[in-house]
Amino acid sequence: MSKKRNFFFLSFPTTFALLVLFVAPMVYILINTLEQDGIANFVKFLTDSFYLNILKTTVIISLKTTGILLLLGYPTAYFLARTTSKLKNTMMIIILFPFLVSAVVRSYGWMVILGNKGLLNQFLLAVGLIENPLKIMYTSHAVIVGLVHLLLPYMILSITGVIQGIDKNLEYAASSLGCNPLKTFFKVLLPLSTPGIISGCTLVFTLSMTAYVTPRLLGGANFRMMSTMVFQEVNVNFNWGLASAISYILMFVILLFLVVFNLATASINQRVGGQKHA
Amino acid sequence: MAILQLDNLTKRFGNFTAVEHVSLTVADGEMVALLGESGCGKTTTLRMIAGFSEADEGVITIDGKVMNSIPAYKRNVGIFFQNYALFPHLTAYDNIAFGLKVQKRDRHEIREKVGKIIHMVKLDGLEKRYPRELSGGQQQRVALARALVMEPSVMLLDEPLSNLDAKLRIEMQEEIKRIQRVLGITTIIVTHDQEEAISLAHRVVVMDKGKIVQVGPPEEVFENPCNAFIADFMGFVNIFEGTVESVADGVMCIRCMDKLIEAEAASCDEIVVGEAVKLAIRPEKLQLSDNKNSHNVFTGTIESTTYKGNITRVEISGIITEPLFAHKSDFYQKPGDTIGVYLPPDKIRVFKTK
Ligand SMILES: Nc1ncnc2c1ncn2[C@@H]1O[C@H](COP(=O)(O)OP(=O)(O)OP(=O)(O)O)[C@@H](O)[C@H]1O
Ligand SMILES: [Mg+2]
Repeated sequence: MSKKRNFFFLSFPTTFALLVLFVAPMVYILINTLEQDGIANFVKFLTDSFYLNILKTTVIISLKTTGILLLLGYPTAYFLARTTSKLKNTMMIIILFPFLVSAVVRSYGWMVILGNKGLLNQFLLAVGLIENPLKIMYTSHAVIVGLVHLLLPYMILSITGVIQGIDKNLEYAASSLGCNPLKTFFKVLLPLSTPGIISGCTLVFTLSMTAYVTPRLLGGANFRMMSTMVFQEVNVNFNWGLASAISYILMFVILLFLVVFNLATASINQRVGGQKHA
Repeated sequence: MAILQLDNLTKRFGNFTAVEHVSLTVADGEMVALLGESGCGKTTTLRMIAGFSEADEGVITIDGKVMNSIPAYKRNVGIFFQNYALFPHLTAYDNIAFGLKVQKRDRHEIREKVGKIIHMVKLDGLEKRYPRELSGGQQQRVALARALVMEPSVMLLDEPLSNLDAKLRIEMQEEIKRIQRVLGITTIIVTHDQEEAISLAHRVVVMDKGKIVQVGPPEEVFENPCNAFIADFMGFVNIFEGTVESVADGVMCIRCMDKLIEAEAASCDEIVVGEAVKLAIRPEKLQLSDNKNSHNVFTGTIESTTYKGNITRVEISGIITEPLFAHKSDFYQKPGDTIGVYLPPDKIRVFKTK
């Protein structure tokens, strides 16, 4: 019993900060909007296909971003976790390097590359692969590119940590029992690294669902995602009630996906256990 | 079924040489025990044979086929890992059945084979447990079963019985021996236990600092180690220095301080008069009872006695510089008593001091 109290004590500063700085304002916002308009704003959002399409775009872009990040991040993470190179720490720092540059600056960087007269189009035109410049800027593709670039470190770090905890001998054991590298991956590595995959996906999914700068700058004024909508309702339309409704719906949808992710983790964790053995 | 041949195998980590020019042929169906100090390169050697790490030099062949560039999963070499390496996400049963399932064996065959081996390693009733729910010794037996059930052509066992109690250990030794002999699996077993090596292996290979220093039948290696280092490792607790005074008719006279000790020279080394040598004798070979022999009988003082269960370890001083240790059962004399010690000449080993 006393053990339990001790653990809570350790988390007290964070718990307190969360309650005061996050939960309280959220409750305040909710009460405010409900007092003013009742559930009208929620009804408006959930019955208008204009808004529902924005939600759909947001979810699809976030899922695509998460998928691409997983495919890009896993091999990199595996390499980082298993390399014995002396440059390992340097590589880790290089991966973290983008964190030092603000999302705004990075988005402008992508504008230079992806624009109609940008580097990419110039290159493709010069090589003769295309005849007219591709329209990438101000489309969902540009947003996904920007998000992937922005969030890659999160995915890589989450998975690297978990793979580092998997004994390399397990892979050797699988191969001595007849598994080629592909089978070793599916039968041993993948099930054991699922916790890292789930936590990485949770992080990047949440961050892309709520991203503002990247969709705003790379998607342009007419490209709408949930967080750009919130901004627009607050600062352009001065509709605070709708803005809070949107942010609540966004939060609810994210939670819904996280519950799904976590149910998956729970069932896998139960099988994998603390993955500690003598 | 398989002849395993190592030819000049060398492995370096940076500029540290972990395994150096190891050459060894393990005959078809033979069981070789690999012995040596911690860190002498035993596991590194096994890992090269299994195909987990590449040899920097040398050739590994199985049945004459060069294995160096063949990936581990095609070698049909089974391995028991020193740290077990059980799959934490699979039950004991699924760990053991893993290899058979990968090979897509018939379902009934898998169930029968796995069931049989589980019974053999005495894990009945624990099939559904995950590795983290098993004791160290139980995990060890799951790992052993996982390697054995595959009936590979070459089997590598890295200290498979280190974590078991004496009784279970002997039972498992018998099982390993039975399976190995019945199936004729060419096997290398790493062990620290002399008795284990004697009861299991056809031959013993001793390694030191990455090199093979002695190969031979277990009795020979334990009775006639090639140098003082191996002798020390093999339990020749009493090792002391002397100078050769004379060599005649296979009998050496060696001076240790003021004592003259006779030894019947069954030595690996060619020893000449005047040479500095090391003498070694096992503590259980010292005779303490009053002795009618004329040579090699000395009088010392009992320094201490330690009861060790089946034997008493007696520390005797006053004969040479170092104390001598003797193992005796039913020993009742007290520290401080004087005692006669006989060193049987045929039990003394003599090595060059290098
Ligand atoms: N990956 C590695 N990098 C550098 N050095 C290594 C590596 N693996 C092993 N070594 C070194 O090689 C030597 C041999 O190691 P090895 O694991 O083969 O010893 P061992 O004979 O199995 O010892 P033990 O009885 O303790 O298991 C050791 O000195 C070890 O420190
Ligand atoms: Mg070892």
